[in-house]
Amino acid sequence: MSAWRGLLDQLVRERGRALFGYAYALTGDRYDAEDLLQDALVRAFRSGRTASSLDAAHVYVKRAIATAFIDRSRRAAVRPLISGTGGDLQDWVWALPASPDHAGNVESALDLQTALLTLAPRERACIVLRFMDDLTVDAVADTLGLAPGTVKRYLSDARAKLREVLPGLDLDDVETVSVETVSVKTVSVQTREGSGR
Amino acid sequence: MSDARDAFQNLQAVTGRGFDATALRADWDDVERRIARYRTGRVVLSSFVALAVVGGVTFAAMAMPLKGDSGPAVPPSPTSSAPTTQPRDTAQAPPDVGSTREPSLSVFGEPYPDGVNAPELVSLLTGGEGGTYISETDTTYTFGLLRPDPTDGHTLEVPITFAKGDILVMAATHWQCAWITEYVGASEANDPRRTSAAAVELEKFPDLDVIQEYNPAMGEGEYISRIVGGDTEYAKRWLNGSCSGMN
Repeated sequence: MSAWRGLLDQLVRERGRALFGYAYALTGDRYDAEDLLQDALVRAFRSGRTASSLDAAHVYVKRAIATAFIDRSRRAAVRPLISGTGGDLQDWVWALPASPDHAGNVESALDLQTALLTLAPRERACIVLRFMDDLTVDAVADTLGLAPGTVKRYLSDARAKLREVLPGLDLDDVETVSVETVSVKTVSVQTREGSGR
Repeated sequence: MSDARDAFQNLQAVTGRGFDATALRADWDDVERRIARYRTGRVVLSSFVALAVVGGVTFAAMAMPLKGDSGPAVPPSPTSSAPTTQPRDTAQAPPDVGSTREPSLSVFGEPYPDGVNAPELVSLLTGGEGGTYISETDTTYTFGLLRPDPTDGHTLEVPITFAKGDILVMAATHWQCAWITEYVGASEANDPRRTSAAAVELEKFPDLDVIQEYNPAMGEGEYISRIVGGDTEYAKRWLNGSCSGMN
């Protein structure tokens, strides 16, 4: 088996659930999520370069899911006007294998998914990348090909809409700052204070 | 109050549990086939490029002695170019020689780059291969798309109606991707004439009537200025992402 086939197989086997859940959060439709994940896997693995590790491939496919989702929404979700298909979390999630606190987790997941579907595609992509993927605003902007200011606007709009639907959800957005950055900033402040006296 | 990150992780975990029941496994061979097809294409393309380079070097090597025979004897300069630069000079067309072929026009009337043809609208649709245009109204297009007959597995042409705006926006995206491809190719070939021509076309995109009318958000953001500003790596990522499957 070639290297990329082995990595692809391992990725789907070990990370398939996480990637599918990620695609589902964006699309809100089981069949669209499957299509999106397939497209993302093709995009991620079709280049001549193969990711160096499982983690790298996972990150690459997640980015590919986000860009493929935006690509689809950019094409204005071209679908037949009369569409008889489409999945829905409510329809199938209760049949999933149970886990501890299955009911509570499923209820809150349903609430969040329902709320996400009230957002425009770009707002949804921004909020999912920000909170599910924990990307910075700049990284979200880079992934989606938007200006950071535009991403901030989408995030702000998305948060406002989600707060209306889910008032109990804490959407305060403090960007994660790396430990190194914090210490550098602290040192530089101390230096300025010291030199000013 | 629950933390948003925890809620999103929970959503991902709950829906992810449905993964094993999805059709992805059933389509697994298709995913592998699609990847393998791209990779094979790259190898074939690389082989053609390699052959072209070898051919160019061979041609240059053959042409140089002929020049020397007919001209005055000039001793080789110690600073003369390395042999690998010779084929490029030999192969370069004079700058004023351009294509006289009429450009292919998109459905909204803008030209495509030289050598790129405007696609049939139906071919832009996923699963539109082999489909046909049937009719249109002010707001819709109807295409006949080939679909399997669920009763006996034969292929049927099924008339399906699409919103006109969606199709025109797809056509505009195809056109934009063609010009991004042209821009990257021209930049890498150090061809300022083609590069600036591509930049002019790309900068039209936000103002195209179809974009203004049906999806003005597509013209927003910095991505166009970043691409025409010369960030070819970003342009390539854009081609690989948003333009995937478009050209």
